[in-house]
Amino acid sequence: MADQLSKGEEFEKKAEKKLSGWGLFGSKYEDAADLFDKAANCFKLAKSWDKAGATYLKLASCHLKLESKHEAAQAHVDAAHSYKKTNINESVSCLDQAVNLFCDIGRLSMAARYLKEIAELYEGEQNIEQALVYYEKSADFFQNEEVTTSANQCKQKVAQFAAQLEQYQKSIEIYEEIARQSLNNNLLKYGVKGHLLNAGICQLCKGDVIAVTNALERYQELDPTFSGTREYRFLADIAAAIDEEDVAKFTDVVKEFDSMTPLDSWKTTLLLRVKEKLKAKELEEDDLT
Amino acid sequence: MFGSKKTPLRDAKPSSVGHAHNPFDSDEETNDKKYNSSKKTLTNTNPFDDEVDVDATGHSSSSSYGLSSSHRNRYKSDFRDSGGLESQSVQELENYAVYKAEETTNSVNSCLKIAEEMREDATKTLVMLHHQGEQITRSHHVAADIDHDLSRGEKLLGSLGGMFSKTWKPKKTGTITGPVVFGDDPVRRKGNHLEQREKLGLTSAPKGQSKSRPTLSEPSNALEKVEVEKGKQDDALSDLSDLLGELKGMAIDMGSEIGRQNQALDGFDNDMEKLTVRVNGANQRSHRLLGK
Repeated sequence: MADQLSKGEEFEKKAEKKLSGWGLFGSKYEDAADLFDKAANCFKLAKSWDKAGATYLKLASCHLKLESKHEAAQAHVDAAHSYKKTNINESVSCLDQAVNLFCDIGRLSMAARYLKEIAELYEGEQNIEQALVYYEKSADFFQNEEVTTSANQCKQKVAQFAAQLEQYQKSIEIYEEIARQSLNNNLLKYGVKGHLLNAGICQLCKGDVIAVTNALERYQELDPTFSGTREYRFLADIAAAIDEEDVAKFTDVVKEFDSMTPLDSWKTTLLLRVKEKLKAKELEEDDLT
Repeated sequence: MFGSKKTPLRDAKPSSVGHAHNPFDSDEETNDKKYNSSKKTLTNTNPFDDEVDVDATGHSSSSSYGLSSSHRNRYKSDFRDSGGLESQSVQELENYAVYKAEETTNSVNSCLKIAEEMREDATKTLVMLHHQGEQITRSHHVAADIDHDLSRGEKLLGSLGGMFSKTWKPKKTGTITGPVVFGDDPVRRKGNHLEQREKLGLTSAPKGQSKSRPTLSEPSNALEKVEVEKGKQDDALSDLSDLLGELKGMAIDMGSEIGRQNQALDGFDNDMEKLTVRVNGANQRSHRLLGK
């Protein structure tokens, strides 16, 4: 460990020396880049992540001097992966720079991939607002490159976070759009009812029973088989329970559905919001009487 | 983030599914005391539960015909310990019929739950297959781009060399086909196909059976109880039938997609072989030029 650390520092010193000396036709930058790369690898082996990250950034600046943006971008990515272990903000900053460089050289699919990685870092840090922003950017890039599956994955994340942040309309639009796209594909058509269920739950969170009923009619037009599914019955029964302001019925409907298809925590969270609203309504009614 | 957390709803299941008889359980192990105590602990884990009046046995006071543990044990052993079916009273046999009907309902519900899980997994698999298909196509497009760039490289390599050196011609390997776009089955591809099927009356009608069936407020005798259970079983079997039909469709689509991807990979493999030969040739030419 210590051996690798001293080796790395040695390589780094040599690289700095190269940069401060003279070189023909930019060869000093090439030599320095080679030495910085070796140094960074040694630091990684020594598990000195901050030093490895800083060295990769120096390597990136050498590549930029040599006008090789692709290598510079890759060095920024390596720096980000080193910083990921210790400093998330620094890691995000490095990935951001890498994305800009990939955009400059027209490698949009790579840019999309690293935008998604930034979003995942923010998600891991529970920073939902920023995660949403970057997933949205990533989805746009993937869509431009016609990588529809990855675009849809990112869009679903956006919808998920938007609903958590109570931006229900945005979430509904995304789920409905994905459902519409999926209907025309033999492989994706089976997931349509899941997307429509998610959209329906977001409609319920808005608290407008008429809007929910209209949405269900619209979903039936979109996919004629939807009206025969458990998901449709679930949404319709919940809408009825809300309309009747019957908390017990609401609970029974949710329990029955969960007994067959266990609800994930996202659905549970949203349905709890609906239930709280329903309870509050019921209490209001009691107060009035 | 969301999938990893254990859903609090998973703990509390309605009684219809909650105590399904596991064929692998030993009779001694499933005593009612254990069942009751577990039921009591699970009562308040569901965030959607309201405060329900639960009596000392752990059953909600609304259930009027709970069977005692001694009865249950006798039913499980089919009255072997108490003189067989012939020596039982009519009342006892009626209760036994109800018990068996409930057990059947639980088994059917368990099957339905398993089928539902299979459908979810199959849906995820299909999404992954679609993703994989896209990646194969993209990779093949990249191979076609490499072919284009390599052609330019070969021209440049051909023009390099001494004034009197023989011009270099790359090996002919045949043209690269690039990704083949497979059209879907035209009938199934149409967006309005489902609507057309519905107009023809081919799609399964919305299942309102459970709603339309006349529901008795509280079944009073054993026959009514058995009928109620039969109704539940019919609904569950109808759902199961639809699910199995859907699973069949999924399996067919998976098969045809995998077949398509196999063909695509064959074409991709052929093109990559041609490219490899040409890249090797170009490398040899470069080495020769550098050696001069």
